[in-house]
Amino acid sequence: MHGAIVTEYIRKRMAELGHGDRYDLRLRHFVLAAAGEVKHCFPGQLLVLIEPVEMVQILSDDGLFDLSLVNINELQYEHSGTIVMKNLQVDKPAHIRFLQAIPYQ
Amino acid sequence: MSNKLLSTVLHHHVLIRRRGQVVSFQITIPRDAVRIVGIETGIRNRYCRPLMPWRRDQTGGLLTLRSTGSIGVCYSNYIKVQTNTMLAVDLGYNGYGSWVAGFYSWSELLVNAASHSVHREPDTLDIPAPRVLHGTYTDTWGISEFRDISYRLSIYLWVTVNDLYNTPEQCTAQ
Repeated sequence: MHGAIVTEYIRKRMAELGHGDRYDLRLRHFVLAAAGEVKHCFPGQLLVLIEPVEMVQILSDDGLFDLSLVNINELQYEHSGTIVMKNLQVDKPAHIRFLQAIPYQ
Repeated sequence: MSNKLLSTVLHHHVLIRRRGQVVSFQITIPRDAVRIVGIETGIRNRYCRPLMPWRRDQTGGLLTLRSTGSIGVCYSNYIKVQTNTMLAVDLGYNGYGSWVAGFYSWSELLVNAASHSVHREPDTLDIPAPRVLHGTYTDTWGISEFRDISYRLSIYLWVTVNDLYNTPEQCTAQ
């Protein structure tokens, strides 16, 4: 997803959630070790995947993103709550970039 | 112009065909719906036959619903493949007629083909009606059976409708 689209999407989404423009934006770049797995908790916050990443599984309260799956009909770019990121590659690290929206309240 | 609040039911089907399939879908809520007050789910055979594979723990998969007006999950539950042994009687079948209609004496295998039966109650889902409900259904039944099982997940949303939008003037204007 293009960065400009992500920014515009977050703006509309936060307005839809009732936050208007009362939120902070952060660019998050997670580095996962080979075959590594990390778990983060972002309650009430939005994280939108900036670009599709291969050989990575992202599972959150909002849904699942995994390009290697064939039994799924839709992938989620928007995540929130508890997010588990897993690197499916065993020989090299993976990079995942999110745009994070943190509401003031 | 009347401003009555009525209740009605919205219906949505999800088709599962493969083992472990994850299906994402959207349920568009009509604009005259003001509140969702309940949800009822049921699993039935894809071809509307009453017979379904037996399931020991009676769960077919995990259903998750998210509202566009809030962050996070607004409903999450394992969908039961509930038996309904009263169904043949409800339809007036008994004896040989019941067998011909597909209801056998070992009727524990009967799937709940008719939601909204008198023996069920909707789960509570009390939220303001959003424009769209995003849903995800993850099949666990096929995984435990080690094969592809085709079935339909039926979702019934009980909603409160503002009758203001259904006056003759509004209908004419549209």
